[in-house]
Amino acid sequence: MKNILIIYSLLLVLVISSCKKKLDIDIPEAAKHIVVNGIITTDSIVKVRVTKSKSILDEKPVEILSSAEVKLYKDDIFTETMTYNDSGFFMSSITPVENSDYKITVDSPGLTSVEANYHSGPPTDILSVDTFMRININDWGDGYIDTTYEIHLGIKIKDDAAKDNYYFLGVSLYRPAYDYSDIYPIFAGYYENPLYYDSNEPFFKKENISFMLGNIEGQVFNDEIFNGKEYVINISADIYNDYYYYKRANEQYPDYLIIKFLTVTADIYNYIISYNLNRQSEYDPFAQPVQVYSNVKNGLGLFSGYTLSTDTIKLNY
Amino acid sequence: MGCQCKINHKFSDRDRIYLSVYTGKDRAYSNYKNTWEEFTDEFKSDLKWGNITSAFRWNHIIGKKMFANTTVTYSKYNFGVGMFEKSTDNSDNAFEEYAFDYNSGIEDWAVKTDFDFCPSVNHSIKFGLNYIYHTFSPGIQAFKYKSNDTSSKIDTTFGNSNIYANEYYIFAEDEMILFKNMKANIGVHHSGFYVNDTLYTSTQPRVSLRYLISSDWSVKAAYTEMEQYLHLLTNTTIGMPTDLWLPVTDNISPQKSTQYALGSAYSYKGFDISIETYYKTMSNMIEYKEGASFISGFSEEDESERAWENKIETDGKGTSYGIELLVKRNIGKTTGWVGYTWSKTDRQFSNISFGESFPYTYDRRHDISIVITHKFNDKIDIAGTWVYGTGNAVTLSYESYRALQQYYYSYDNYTDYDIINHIEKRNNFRMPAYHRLDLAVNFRKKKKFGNRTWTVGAYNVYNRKNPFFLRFGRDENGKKALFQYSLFPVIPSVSFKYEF
Repeated sequence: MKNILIIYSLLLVLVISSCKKKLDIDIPEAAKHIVVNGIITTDSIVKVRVTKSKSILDEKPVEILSSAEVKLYKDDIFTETMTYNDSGFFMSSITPVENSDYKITVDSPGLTSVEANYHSGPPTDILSVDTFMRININDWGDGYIDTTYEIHLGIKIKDDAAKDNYYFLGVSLYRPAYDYSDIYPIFAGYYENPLYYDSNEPFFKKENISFMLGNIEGQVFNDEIFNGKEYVINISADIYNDYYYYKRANEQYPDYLIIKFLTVTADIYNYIISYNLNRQSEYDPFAQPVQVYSNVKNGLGLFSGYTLSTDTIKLNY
Repeated sequence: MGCQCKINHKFSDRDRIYLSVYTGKDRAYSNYKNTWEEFTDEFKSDLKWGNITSAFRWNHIIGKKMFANTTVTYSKYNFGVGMFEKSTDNSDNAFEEYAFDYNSGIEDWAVKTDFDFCPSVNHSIKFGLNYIYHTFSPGIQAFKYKSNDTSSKIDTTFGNSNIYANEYYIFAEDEMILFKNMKANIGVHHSGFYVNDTLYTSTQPRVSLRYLISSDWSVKAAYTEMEQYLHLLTNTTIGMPTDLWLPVTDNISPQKSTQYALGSAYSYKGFDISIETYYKTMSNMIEYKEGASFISGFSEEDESERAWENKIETDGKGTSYGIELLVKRNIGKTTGWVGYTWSKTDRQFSNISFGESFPYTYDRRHDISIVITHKFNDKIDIAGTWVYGTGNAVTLSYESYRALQQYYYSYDNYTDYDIINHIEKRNNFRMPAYHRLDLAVNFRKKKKFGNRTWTVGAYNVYNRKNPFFLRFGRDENGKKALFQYSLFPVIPSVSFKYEF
């Protein structure tokens, strides 16, 4: 055994209590922030919601800061103090115009004052819309037939090469409503519903699910792959119809597709993308939590806007 | 739980071998069951990790001025995480249950030879080469879904393919006396990593200088460039920590770093005091993408959606700087050291936290270690270790606010908008600090055929409940609260060692 050294060890561990303990731990008392949410556009007056953030542990309803002082500036000139109304909005009396800067400041006792800015740029025109429709007829027997109109749209726009641009595309179906109380349906006016569309365009990223911007539902994207060029955005959607009724009624009260092409800000783009990711990660305990974008200085929320181009297409079934 | 064995055998005056094997396996788990009026919820989570390291080293003295160490090693590391959730309707026992399992690991075979060569009193040269064969298992996932509706049962396993890689390095360095009181260590390190038909190579210079101001006071400076072919991917949630070691691939480049260090050492009345500052820049770092989850994508038909490479950002930059202070005593009955490090480490990615820099998960502002041994006599000594570290940085929302987006399932006027859980930025919250005291008393005795030592001690003497993970839940009053879960309370131990 000369010159041989062997080290041999045995470890005996006695566990005298449980290996897990549950403790309450303090969450830092988060500084409460003023939250401003408002999307403005050239077809309606400026209005915003102003609320207060709360602790994550607080399950009470969100507090509306109805007595806050909300000031609106246009091109750095004070325009007016906005007034709170019972619908939950602070209202102004002005309608935004293109190529102007808007600033909002909010003061509320006990909270840090906030401000946010929006530049209203020019709209991006829809140059043309190509349509193609395919009809799929389902015969269910007993004379009942319904149809699916598969509509393909090619929406041509020209991107401004001078800057990074962000867009939002919404499509809605504007169609007659009918009163079915009689044996024959009776026309009861028109109504508008968002139309969900599919697309293989690479910029409609997977996480970029549909979003309601103001009262327009659609998807946001940027000009990364067509910067400065004319580009045709291809989308498709399904329209469901009761064949007989619509065939007959369409001659007098046709359906329309309304294409709403919004030129939005980088702020809106960042907000929507991060908001959608935040929602998707909410229920996966292993997902990295996502910070939602805000352009409100010293506060939270989003104050921004868009300019709109529309095109309306009469549908001939 | 672990097991360790070491053997050291001297064949001749020129040859000696060492063999060591260590295996360890640990598991942490938590189970909850809450019964409400209408439902019963069960939640189980499970984290397990294990490793084997073994080394065979042959020390050979080639001549008076040269010796070599040749080492063959095998190591294997496995990591697994599981989660189970079940919800049962108390009225009719209708239930739904989900289970996830995720396993990943690394297995390495390596061989290396290092030479130490002293051609003169002014030069001490080291050189050597190393080869490693890596097998990476980046992740096998299993997903199960079961309910009383048997038609919707899912039981599927899928995973990322193993990645096989070859790594080598060669190095040479010379510790030389440049002139009186001035010593330099100049070296070069060249390495390569071959993976997925892609070869990465790197040549890294390393320079350090030491100047003796007096016999007991020196100053030193060092410049080091490094390139690493393994990435550590950590989750930043408050949930169970999941550290994955992942290789570079044809799509993911090696991480690079450059470090500058300045230091000074001073000896005073049996104490060695040293202070060192460093500044390090890093590039090609990786982090999970916003919203990414290492278990997500199980429902995707497209395999690329599940691939770990598609869940990470790769353009990370990082900085780390700090100051380290060490006071050490090696003589006398009471020996040991006190170490303190102040450091700051952050990361920056263009697509995380909107390009703002954020603290790294293991950014540790304060790190203290105190190790003291007192020898009463040849038979009894006592050792104590106290460690303290700032808590890990994790991402936690502690503020919420109303969203722009309308919430469709509203019940009253105040909740008709969605609520966003606000996060200031990634890793915005600090877990509570980690600290604990370990004590051990050794009782030694010389026996006829060797020395035996009995050790009686305790781990975490004052039963500090160090944080392991956090989870939101409800307290006994039904109010929402954040809970901390801990492992390893005070653990007494007895060990026995015999040296032949």
